[in-house]
Amino acid sequence: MNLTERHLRAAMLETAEEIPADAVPPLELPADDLYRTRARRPWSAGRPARWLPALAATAAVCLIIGLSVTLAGGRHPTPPISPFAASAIAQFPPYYVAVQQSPGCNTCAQGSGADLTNPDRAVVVSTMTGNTVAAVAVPKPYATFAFVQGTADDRVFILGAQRLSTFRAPATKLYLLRFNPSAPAGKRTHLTALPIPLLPTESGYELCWFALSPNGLLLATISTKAGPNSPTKLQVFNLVTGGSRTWVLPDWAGRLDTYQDVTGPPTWDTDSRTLAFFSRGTAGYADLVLLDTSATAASFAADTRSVQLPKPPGTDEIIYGPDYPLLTPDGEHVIESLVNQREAAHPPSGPSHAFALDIVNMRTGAVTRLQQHSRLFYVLASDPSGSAVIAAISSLPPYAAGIVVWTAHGTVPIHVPADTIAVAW
Amino acid sequence: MELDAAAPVPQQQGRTGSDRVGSADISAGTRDRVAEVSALYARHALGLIRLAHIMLGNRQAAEDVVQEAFIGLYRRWTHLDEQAKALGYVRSSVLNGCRSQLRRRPTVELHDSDGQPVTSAESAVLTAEERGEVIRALRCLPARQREVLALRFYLDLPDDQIAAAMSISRNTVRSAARRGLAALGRALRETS
Repeated sequence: MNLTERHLRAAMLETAEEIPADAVPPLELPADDLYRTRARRPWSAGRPARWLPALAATAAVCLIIGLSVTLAGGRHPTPPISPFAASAIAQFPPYYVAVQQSPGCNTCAQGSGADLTNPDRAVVVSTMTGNTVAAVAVPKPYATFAFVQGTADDRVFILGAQRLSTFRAPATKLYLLRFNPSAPAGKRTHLTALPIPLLPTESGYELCWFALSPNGLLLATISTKAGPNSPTKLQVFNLVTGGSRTWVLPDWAGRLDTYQDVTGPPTWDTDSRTLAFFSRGTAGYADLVLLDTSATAASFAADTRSVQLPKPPGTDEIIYGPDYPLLTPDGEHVIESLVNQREAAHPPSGPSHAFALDIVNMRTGAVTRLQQHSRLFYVLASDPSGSAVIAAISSLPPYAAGIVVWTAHGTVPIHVPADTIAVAW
Repeated sequence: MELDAAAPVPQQQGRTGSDRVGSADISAGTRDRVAEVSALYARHALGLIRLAHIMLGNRQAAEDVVQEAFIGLYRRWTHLDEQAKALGYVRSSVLNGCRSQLRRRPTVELHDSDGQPVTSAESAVLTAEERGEVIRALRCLPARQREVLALRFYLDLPDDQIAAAMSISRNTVRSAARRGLAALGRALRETS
């Protein structure tokens, strides 16, 4: 346990002690439920219901709002975009998908209904303006979109819908979302269930990651299972033929989030054939492990090759990262983000920039630092050469969490709908 | 740390739901339900209120969230797949309740909600100021990271129980914990 963890534990224990053990209030169960078996008094025929005026007033307000929205064309005013911002954003696909959590959803706490419902939805959003151009509800009986991934264009996305259950591993169903911006409003999206035979939840395996290849033909999934002798499995499905291949991942790849074996989930190369992982490198930094999903050996060791990554100059001790590799569309660069211990602990001057974003040229080994930041961030997308990226910055109040475009010349914010919990380009 | 260990059984004070109505007025099934939920409340309320207090920094709100969670459990009791897992259900409800409270709360409260130093037996470990910084930084994390860290480091729950309580995968639990710790460490270094 490191210092942060020890401090966190001690602080939480001390804070918890602010509630004395003898100060628990009594449980007050609702009387109306206790009396539920009694017959309710029917509305008397001659007396108007008390809720009718309130209902009528609510309906009137809704009508006025609806008319206003209709007359205004349902559009929100878009703030002006500077030429620099427009050119930076224009390097990325015009649309992205955001998963929105329903605001104020607390039906689990209310305990109403037979299912724990969490009515999320997915929306297609204009990258440039932030306007929502289409929305997709979670198909029943699923309750939430837990994953979203995009392809190389901005017309096809994959959504992972899940049931929410406190008592069971969530069952996941994958859906293909097709988007047609030129279709009339209300018909711009088409959601199709993917006939992907995921490992059944009865087997104990749980889907923890998936990604669609850039050409939209192959879907890679990683499923994990708790307990010893439960290897993590990588499956690659051919969406055209229905065929699939399975690899048993080595320990380092199965432990996707351990501190020691610094690896994250793999990402597709632009050839739509190669999956790239990071692993702790033999030279103490990191290796890029490339799996050829078209190879015939069907063993992870035989189907992979490793590329040793150079340690970025100026780094002392890498605390976290590189997390997951992002290969640029030109196939020549890999983008990595990391936390540098030396810069975190001993900022040379001014604010510390412990979080770094590096671009590694795989041909020459040259490392270019694209960005340094004082806050944790995750790279979501890259332009063809890695000279501009879209990043999600983890923020603390009073700053709003944000999605930005980073270029060598500046930062441009991207508008994201409220209550967004995941985005994909 | 399991809730059982952290939460000694409090003496019931005042009237409970079962006190409020005469036994002749309710069915035997309802009476059993009241008894079961009340017993669960007696065993776990303290630990859950403390958990909610860590998340919210407001004792009254924490008590309300836990109260609501048990009312939800009571209403849903007959629908539970396995009543032995009711604690998991109510734990999830408390987390959801905290999330709802935080959504409704203005951002500035996140800063102002906990600044008062409180002396305790562990004050030798962290000064009150340090503790306040840690808790403030924790409350500024995204909801998922904050909840994972609280469940892992306050309740000592294993990852699979955290995953069940939050309806997320174990890998997401590990990922959220790692990112939360990174952000927390970063925030603390910034403030020190």
